[in-house]
Amino acid sequence: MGNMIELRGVTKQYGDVTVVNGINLDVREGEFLTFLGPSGCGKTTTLRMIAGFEDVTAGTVVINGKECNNIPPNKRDVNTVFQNYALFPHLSIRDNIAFGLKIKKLPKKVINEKVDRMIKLIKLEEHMDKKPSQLSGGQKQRVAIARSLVNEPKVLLLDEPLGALDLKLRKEMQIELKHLQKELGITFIYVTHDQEEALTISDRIAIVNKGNIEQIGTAEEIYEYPCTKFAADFIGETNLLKCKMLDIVDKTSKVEWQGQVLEVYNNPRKYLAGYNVYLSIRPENVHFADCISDFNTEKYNAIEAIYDEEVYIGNISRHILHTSDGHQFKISRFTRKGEHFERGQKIKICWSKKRCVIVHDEGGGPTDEEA
Amino acid sequence: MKKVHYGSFLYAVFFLFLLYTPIVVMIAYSFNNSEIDVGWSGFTLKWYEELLASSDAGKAVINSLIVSSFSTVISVLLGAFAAIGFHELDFRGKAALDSFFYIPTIVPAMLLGVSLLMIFELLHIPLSKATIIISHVTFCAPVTFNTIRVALNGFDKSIEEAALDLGCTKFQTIFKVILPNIVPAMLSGGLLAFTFSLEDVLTTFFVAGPSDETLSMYIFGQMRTGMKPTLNALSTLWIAATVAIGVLMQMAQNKAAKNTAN
Repeated sequence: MGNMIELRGVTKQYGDVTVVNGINLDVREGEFLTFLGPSGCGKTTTLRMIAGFEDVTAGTVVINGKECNNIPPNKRDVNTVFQNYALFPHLSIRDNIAFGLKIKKLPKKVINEKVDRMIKLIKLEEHMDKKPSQLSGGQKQRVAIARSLVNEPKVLLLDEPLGALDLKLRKEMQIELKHLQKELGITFIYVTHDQEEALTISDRIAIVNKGNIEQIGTAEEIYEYPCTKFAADFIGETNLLKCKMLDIVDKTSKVEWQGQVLEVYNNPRKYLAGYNVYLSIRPENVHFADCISDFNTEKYNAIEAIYDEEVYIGNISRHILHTSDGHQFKISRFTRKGEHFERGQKIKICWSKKRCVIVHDEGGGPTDEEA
Repeated sequence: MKKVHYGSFLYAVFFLFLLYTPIVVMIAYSFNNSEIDVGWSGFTLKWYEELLASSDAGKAVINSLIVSSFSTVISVLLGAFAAIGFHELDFRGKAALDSFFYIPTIVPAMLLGVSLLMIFELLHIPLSKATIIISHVTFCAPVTFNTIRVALNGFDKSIEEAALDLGCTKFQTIFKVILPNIVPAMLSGGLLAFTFSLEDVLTTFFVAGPSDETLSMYIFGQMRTGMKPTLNALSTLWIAATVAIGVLMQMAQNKAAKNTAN
């Protein structure tokens, strides 16, 4: 399958402010791709440039093999689902969904058939003559999606479409959207700042920060092998140790932290010696050295930390410690009966050399080559 | 329910008394049998009969309806498209132009009348209903413009983007999405303009032709020869009509509020 969307050096500037900074991205046909990032990172602006609501300052937007920089939104093969639904308040649900087809002047019979099928798909048959103001948030959202999908676009762009819904409904809609997308085989580009949502629904995630794509990959790739400090921190929770790159021997990368050498086996990226890097270790991969029967420094990195407190959350306990350089260090593990630590107690903690990743800060560590 | 303080109750009564006594007295006297406004001497409808029989009053009503209807329709159209233009476009001097649109509503009506008369004289335009209508549009169009502008300010920009997204041209977006949504604002702005036009006497006085006496001018003229009970009857009918318009306006606004609360 080919690329449905290609962004080449796409840049957006407002005056002196660069909102999107030369993004390169390929979105495959039939893919569910999510832009994930904090508010103001440029993810919505990028989406709006694909839709045609914003001009690109530089670079090209290619949709289905066609360069679209100068094509207005009404002539692009994409449809958008807006954050606040943007339904037409003066039209009934039925007429809202039929709007795009009527503009295209399709025969009445065809319009009716398509709209009927759509209304059935979103299960709003008994509401089709109501006005948008009479629907609940979840229903409005379904109408907004149906209004776009009925036009059978090549790509559906969704701008935080579930942001206004409550948590339970949002989770239901995430699953529904995912199913809908698989069923119809349409390319979805989805924007959200909710990492859990992104992990749930996406085929691939693009982590956006300060107008740049920091990393693109599957949820697992990004969670297990983040390549930047931001990506590591934004998806899930992590512990970051500020280190200096030493060297790479065979498949083992060595870094120096607080005068101590820590090792990483098979790091996906190779960094040049001397660069400032971070070591990212997920809280669930950290153990108390005393609790590990086969503990040895061959397999594990071990450091000393000072115990602060325990936060009990059911079957999982979170232990908060801090390292000698004063940074917080979190461990999460299954709650064990009778396990108790004193505040201020020095504890040896450890993690597998296969279960940590070297990442760089923005601009802080150019990668030598991709492994 | 919260207990209302005795003092604030008295204040409210006093306030309403000041507001409504003149109107109530006028309505009551329109049914008074006596021709002199001194005391009640029995119920009658004769002033209404006399009023309806008077051809001058009838003509004035018709003149007023013609003038006010035309100036309202013109003002609504001008106001709507100006407001849409303001909403859609960004241009230099927009803020300055915006404040210019308010000025005709705060210029004293008499000065407006004098200046309009001067212009008509300069351009050799004979005074007629048309000149009244032109004059009324100058102070009614800002009213409709602002009413519609406010409605558009509350209109979600992404709804227009949705229309573009679904294949509309800019032009189609205006006619298929924006206009239907500002109809309530056009109605309420129009009714406001209509009442402004109907009651204006000062500006109209300067720009009316000899045979174009409007209702407010007629009443003004009648007053010069002393208070007549027929005037009470006429005013009562007028108030009834104005209240009806006010109620209609309120209904239009409620509908607008309901639509935008989506």
